[in-house]
Amino acid sequence: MNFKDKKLKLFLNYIEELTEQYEELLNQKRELLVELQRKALYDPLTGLFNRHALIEFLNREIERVKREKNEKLFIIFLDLDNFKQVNDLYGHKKGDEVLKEVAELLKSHFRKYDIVARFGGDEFMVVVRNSSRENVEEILRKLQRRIEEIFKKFGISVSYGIAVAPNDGTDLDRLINLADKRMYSMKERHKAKKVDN
Amino acid sequence: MDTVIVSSKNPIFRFAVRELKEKAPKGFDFALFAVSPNYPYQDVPATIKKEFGSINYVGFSSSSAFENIKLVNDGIVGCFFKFNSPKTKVCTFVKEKINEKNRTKVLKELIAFLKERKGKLNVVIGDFIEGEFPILIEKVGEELQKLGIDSPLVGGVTATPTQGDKREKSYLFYNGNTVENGFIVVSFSNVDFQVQVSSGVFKKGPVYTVTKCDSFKIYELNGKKAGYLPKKLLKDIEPAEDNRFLLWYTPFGIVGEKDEIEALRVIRSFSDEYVELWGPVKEGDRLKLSVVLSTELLKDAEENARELKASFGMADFCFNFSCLARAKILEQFEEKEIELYGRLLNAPLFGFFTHGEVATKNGKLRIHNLTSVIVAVRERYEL
Repeated sequence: MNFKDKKLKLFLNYIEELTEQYEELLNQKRELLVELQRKALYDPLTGLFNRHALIEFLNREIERVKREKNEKLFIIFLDLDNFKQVNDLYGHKKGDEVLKEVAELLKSHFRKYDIVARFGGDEFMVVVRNSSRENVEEILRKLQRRIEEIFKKFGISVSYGIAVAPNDGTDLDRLINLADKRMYSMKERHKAKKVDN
Repeated sequence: MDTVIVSSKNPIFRFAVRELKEKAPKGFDFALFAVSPNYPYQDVPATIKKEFGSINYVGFSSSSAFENIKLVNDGIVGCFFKFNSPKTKVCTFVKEKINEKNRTKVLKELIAFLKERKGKLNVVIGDFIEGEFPILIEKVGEELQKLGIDSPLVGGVTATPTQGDKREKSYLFYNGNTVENGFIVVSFSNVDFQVQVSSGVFKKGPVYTVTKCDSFKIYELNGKKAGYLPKKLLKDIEPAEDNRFLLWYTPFGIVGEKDEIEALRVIRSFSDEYVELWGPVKEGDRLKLSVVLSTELLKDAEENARELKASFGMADFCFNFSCLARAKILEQFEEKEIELYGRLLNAPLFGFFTHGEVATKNGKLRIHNLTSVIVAVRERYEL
């Protein structure tokens, strides 16, 4: 090999190293992007979608409901009853464990393509498409029974409220407020029942 | 300032010095001598004294020095200064027998000297001293930055031939004395000057972090044994003889905070375990592996010379400290660079090929490899 050929080979080897390093860098960037996306979309404690991701999804789904006839979207607002007591009596670590378990229960009761999200604190939301009110209510009753059974010693139950698009309108804030309000009505009923007992 | 640069390649040192004397201007104030290491170093001060008498001078070992636009290998090049103003003076700061133990003391003394000579043109010529001199320069740079002093230091590390990994010993000389393992700062007062550092390496390249090193030797890059990299670069290049010079075409650039290249480092040797450089690095340094072509070196040198001419104007004289690796890469164009400096700057030029250049780039004084440092100098005249 003369010096000129050696130099050429050196530059080719350099380009090979450059390509490998850039590929590695690109992989690192991809991993970082996935990680950032995960952080942007998911709740770190429960692994459910976070509020931001849920709102994005709901906006898209409401537009779809507006376009397509006979489409229904069930927006379910869920709130744990007596959850505060768990934190107060057993500590936040236990509280976190309960939230994680509730998240798993929610995921297992609904279908894979239904959206389950943590709305904040002990509030959750589920968005269900292509179903009927009867089916949705049946699942929710089952879920309620299961939660009461599992967390009996903490006295935890769940209240929920359902809003349906387009029946209850197609304004997102209004739909969420309505589901929230209906959830509160149930919570009040639960409280009254507890007092009666 | 009148500057005359002359050379001789007479193999007998006494005759070479005599030839210089014949060509030198009468009544010069100061002289610089680049002396080939082929001459007997023991005779250098005595021969200069015999031929010139008691003159004010600084000399140093150099295999290749510049006499204006001519490259002089294995000879002596003399640069004679005659000052036009009585205010123009030269003083020297000499340190010898530098080692790891007295490094801190030498550093303090040099800093004190530079503080005192702030704003003056301070030209340093030093021996490599097994890496002590480059380390000292890096520390001086750090200290001056801490003190908020713009570094007025510029110069080079003497280059002597290497046999395998061993360098031939180099010496410094001043006013009848020989200096071993040391450096000399020549400080000019009453001069204006401007420094330009030219590199010409490609700005793009993969970046590695030094995760384990010991000054000149990098043991780990990105947590991997560093030896893999030169091996990979030299893969399938046969015969392997002289391949380490080939690695001079792929220098490392130390990446600064603003992603700029602060200083270049050329690979000196390597093994499975390490990569040895011609300049020191630190753990945590980010190194960009770059690539260099002779055409780009010349292009950058020309741009820098034009920039220097445009901002400095007429110079009385120019210094040039250019890396030996640069000479190797320039191949048949090794004289082209000094030729274009001479042509564009229109001034006498003295300098030599170095084993490291001392200059401030982007506000930081550092030891560089693979650069060409050009200094335009002009004596201040009084009306």
